[in-house]
Amino acid sequence: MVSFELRVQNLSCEACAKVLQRVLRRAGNASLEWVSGDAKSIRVSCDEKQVEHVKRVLREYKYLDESSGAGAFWHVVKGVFHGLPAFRAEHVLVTRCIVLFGVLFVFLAVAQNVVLARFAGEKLWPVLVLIPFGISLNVGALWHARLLQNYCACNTGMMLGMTIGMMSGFMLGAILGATNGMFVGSVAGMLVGMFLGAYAAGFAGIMGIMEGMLAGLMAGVMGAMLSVMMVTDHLVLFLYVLFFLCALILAGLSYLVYKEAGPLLESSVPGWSELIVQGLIVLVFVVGLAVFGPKSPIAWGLL
Amino acid sequence: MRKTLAVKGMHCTSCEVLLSEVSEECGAKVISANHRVGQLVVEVPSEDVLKKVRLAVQREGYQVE
Repeated sequence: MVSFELRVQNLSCEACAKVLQRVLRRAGNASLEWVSGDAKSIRVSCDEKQVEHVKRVLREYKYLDESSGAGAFWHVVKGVFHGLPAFRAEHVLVTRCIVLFGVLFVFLAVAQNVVLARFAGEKLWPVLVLIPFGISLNVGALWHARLLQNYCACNTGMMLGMTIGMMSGFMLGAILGATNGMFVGSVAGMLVGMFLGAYAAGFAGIMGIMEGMLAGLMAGVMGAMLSVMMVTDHLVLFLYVLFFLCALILAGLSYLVYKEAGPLLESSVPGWSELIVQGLIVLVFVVGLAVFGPKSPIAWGLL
Repeated sequence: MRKTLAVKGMHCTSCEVLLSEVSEECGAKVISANHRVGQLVVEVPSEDVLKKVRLAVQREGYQVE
């Protein structure tokens, strides 16, 4: 027996759910676990071999919503934002990532004022926002990678590679400075992006690996270049543009995740402790680079 | 014999499908079901079957006049 979610349409009253139940019973003895009129989703359980048959019958009755494009995309975004049943796990993940961002931001702001007061300048504030944002985004993306494993297709791997590559390159480029950051940030972003992208695609086929690698490579290089421009040349405006683009990437990622592996996420709501531990691991890595890296105050003999 | 039942509470095509199915399960032949006019037209072999249809429709939460 398998249990999965489907997007549905034409559900307007209680009778619709009853008819749906009857239709499913006839189609391979499937049963309706729940119906969400708000989220326009249903969860069905049936024999593994009957999945396609069930979908075909629902399609015949015009219940199956297979629309794609902007409508379907906003349906997912609204679901995640409002925390509707079908999107509960994603809603929890997003909310916790926002809290994680807040905690890290406060921590870094205090650390900057207390520990690094000598070096506090106007150039530091974009980095102060950037690091918690990058860490939260990466933790969210890592969580998706962990949940999806071999269940997602190449394009999801590509999105993951792109998000992680972009943020890694961006953070490392900003921390390591204009010259070293350009090289180290790009390479690190590329490596992280390509391996995670490939991992997310399950190493199942050459296409998944290639797409993940290429996305990580491009995004890693681009992230590092943007960070260098932003921090060294005072192009802070790019920060907002990039944040907006990263949010769009995440929204696209959520869309793909729910299109391909929604049922998997339902039972895997991330716990607070695991999320915080993941965030701290990334933070330690980033702070380590900032303190001991090639452009750190220690390396330049300032401390 | 053909009977026309006025059914209150039908909203959509699903209601029509549901009422048609429960009527057929009772042994009636459904001629038409229309949610816009709130009408269910069935052909029944006896009054007993018609009674069963009425009960089944009511059991699904609709009012039969």
